[in-house]
Amino acid sequence: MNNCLYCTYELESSITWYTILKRESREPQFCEECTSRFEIISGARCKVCSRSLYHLEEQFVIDGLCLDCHRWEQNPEWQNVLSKNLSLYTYNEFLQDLIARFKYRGDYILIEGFKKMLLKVSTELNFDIAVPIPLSSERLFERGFNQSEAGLVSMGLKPVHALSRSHSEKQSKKTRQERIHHEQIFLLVDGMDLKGKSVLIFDDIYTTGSTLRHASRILKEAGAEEVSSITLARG
Amino acid sequence: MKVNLVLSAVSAAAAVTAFSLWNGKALCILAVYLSFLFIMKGPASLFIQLCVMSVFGMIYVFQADMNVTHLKREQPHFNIVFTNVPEVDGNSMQTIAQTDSGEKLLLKKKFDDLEDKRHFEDNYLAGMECRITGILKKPDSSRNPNSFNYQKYLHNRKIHWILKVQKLESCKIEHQNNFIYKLINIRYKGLKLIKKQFSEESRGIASALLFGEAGFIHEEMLRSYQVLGIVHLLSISGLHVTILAGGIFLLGIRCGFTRKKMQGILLVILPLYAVLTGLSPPVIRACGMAVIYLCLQIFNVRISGAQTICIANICYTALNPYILFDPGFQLSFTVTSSLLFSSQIISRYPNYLIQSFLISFICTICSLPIMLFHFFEISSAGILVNMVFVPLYSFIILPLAILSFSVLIIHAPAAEILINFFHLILQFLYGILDQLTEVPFSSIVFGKPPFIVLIMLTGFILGVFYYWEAKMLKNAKVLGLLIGMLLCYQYFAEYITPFGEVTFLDVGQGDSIFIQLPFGRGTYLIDTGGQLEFNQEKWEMKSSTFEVGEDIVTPFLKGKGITRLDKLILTHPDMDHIGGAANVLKDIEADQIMISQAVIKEYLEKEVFTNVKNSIVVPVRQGHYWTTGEERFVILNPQKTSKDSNEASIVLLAQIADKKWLFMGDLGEEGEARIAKKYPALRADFLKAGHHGSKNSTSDLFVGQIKPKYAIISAGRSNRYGHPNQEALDVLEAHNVFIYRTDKAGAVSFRFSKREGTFSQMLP
Repeated sequence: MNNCLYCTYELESSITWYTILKRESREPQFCEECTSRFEIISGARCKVCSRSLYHLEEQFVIDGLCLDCHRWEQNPEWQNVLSKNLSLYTYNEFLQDLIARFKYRGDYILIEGFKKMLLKVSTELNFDIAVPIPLSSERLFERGFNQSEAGLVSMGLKPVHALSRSHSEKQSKKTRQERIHHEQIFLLVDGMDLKGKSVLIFDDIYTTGSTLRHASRILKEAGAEEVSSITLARG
Repeated sequence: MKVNLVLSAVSAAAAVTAFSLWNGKALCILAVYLSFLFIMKGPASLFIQLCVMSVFGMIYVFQADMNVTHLKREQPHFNIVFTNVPEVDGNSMQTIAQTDSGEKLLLKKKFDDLEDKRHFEDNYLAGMECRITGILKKPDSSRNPNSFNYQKYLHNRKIHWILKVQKLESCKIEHQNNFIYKLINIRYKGLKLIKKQFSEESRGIASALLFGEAGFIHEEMLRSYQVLGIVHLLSISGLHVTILAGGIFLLGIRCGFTRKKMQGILLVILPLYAVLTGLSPPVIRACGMAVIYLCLQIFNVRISGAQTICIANICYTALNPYILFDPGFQLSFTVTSSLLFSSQIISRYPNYLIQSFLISFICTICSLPIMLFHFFEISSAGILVNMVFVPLYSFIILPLAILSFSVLIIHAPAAEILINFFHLILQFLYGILDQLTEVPFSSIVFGKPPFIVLIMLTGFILGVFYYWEAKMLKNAKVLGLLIGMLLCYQYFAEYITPFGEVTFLDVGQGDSIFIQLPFGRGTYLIDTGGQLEFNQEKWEMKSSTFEVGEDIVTPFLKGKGITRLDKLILTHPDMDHIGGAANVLKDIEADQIMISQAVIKEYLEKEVFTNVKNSIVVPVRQGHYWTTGEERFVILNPQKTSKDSNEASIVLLAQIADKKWLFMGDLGEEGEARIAKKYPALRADFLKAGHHGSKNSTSDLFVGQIKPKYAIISAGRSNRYGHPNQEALDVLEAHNVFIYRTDKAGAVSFRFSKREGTFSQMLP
């Protein structure tokens, strides 16, 4: 009947008061055991990027920001480009496997399991339109779908394709330095006017924040007032 | 998918309840359940459960169709088989027997003398075939609110007649090789052995623990186990079955049997054990669960305890849908399944002490609605007492009982020490329990809750567990608080209700009248009924007899949630008015006991006050009165002295609900004339006719003056005095008085609020 999206076992592992009385959900979801393997980011987190500050040493935390964000914000070129990122979970091994299955092995439906959490988190942000991170046509052909768009669609949003890709290299094959310092990889789609709009972008992982910031920057240059983002994982 | 198993069990129960009661309440429960399914579980689940319900509806309808009698009342001769060993108690015996047409009967026989009794005890066993001459009698339905409905009880066991045996003939032992009869007779022999070898105090408990026979336990002792909420220890259930099955299993493995073989052996032993211990619902539940679990294991299917109990429940209901109405069945399944469903919650608390408290707590909470419905009271001490007594019984008393009995069979003299030890432990425990029952609020009488309160209580309890498990403790606490408030409301309902009542209980030949005034302004009981005592020889005396006070008046009051009366008015010292008082006063306190001043000495001779605790005894006579603000009460009789007990009756004039009531006690013509003369302006709307409507009371002169609209006559069904007398009835009819008779109508109740009220009667 209703099985776990990830491990495909039956959702109810045992008969207890809760499982007897709770509302039967027809929506695809993760079972209790899989859910328990997600690490929710809790406690103090970086005001901008949601990184957990718990494990960071004191010298890497400045005014409630992690050192990375602090550096971004110190740079006048990048200051306030991304106003806030919210991530659901810490990027642990389990989530890594799950995202790989979702993104590279085409298990599109997995995103449905995050729907509830995504919707809940999205209420904390304020936005008018949702823009997906574009994929190059080769990647899109390879994967069959755009994971960023999938996330927005699962939240019931209508993605506005405001961005396109200038070239095709995979981000994940690059080093940190390369990622941060390379030139712009996104282009604004012709005729887009984002004046005065607040924009939400979604991506699967926030690692260095460079992808999201590059995208934000283009959107800001196109007139967006504020850009915020949601990601499943915070690397 | 697994949850569907629980839902199916609930659906089966809902369908059977709805089909058998077919009233608003049952359909209301069904509607709530169906909407729960639709909203929370979706249309697919609803469809599956509707199918389950139709199946069980059909099973019930089919069984109900078969559950009718084929015997005629006039039939004098019967060929029957004893399907059980007759229960002999005092000067009579009763048992269930089967006619040659397969219908079950309840057989009752009175013994002529001790020899007759001995002969019967020694010779009549299960499987005996006899030819009987006797009279068929319909069992009584309940004639009073909250009293035991024998007719329904027997109907649910597919018994429609009581056969009073006049002659037993040509008895022979048939069915020699019937295996079940053999087992039943072994059980009987075991019980006999216990009765012979164990001490008087310990034989009851030993019989209960070893053979599931609780009938030999001393009433006082049983009562203290009930009050303290540990009576379940005395019925064979999961605890015993687990210990026994586990013990045999380990022993077998120690002796070199394989696990597989031991499983097979247990599958044979468990059903035998169930028969040996009397096949009560908790035994069947526990053995059934074990059998289902083991059977599935043979096919390599492993299921959880929660699944097992659901399957056991569904099978049991399918085989005998009537069992759903058995309190033992309800409690056994509810308590066990609620513990299994709470496994998540309990496992959260690692501390052993907290866990054992939780187990005890969960059992008490989950059985609340059932306990209130059947017994009107809850043992609050039970939560703590169980924490001590469950391990005590599991690890010491039960093993000791099994050990002593086993040794007794093997080598009787060696068992003596064990039996003495067993006796000493039980005596010691009983001493403690007896002290504990004296602790205030160890047991709280709530009264029978109205339907809506029961439904809300059940809903809240389910909610508490749902939120507790979901870790939404705030919601759980709110619901817990609501349960507390509901119980408080139920406890104090007497003081909140704007309704009052005057109920004339049917205590057979005798009087007992209950008056409850609105908003707790007063609860009075006029007389307690009672039976004449016959001098009996020792062999004739029963271990438990029916007694009006204990079996009619006390349950009635407890069902109303009353444990304290403002006044107990004992009109005059005749047994049919005060006989029940001693037993009533055991459980019910009375602030004031009013007695007739003219015959004080006679009350004392009758030992009315043996159980009086905190009461003031007030002798009253003509002129005594009191008011409650709304109601007025005046005493019109007795005079200072009286030569005759009836003429000394307290006569009470009451103004209730703006109507005048006249309660005459047993006053006769002479007294009536005196009152008529003394109070020429006396009128009454309602007259409790004097002296059960005898020839010497309710005179034309008196009725003519009082001009009542209604008269209530409290008399026993086909009593030996011929009360009420035709003359009295004629007088009342001549004055156009509407008559209610407890011998015809059962209990008669007048319920009122402010000025309006209506009569209702128990029997249609």
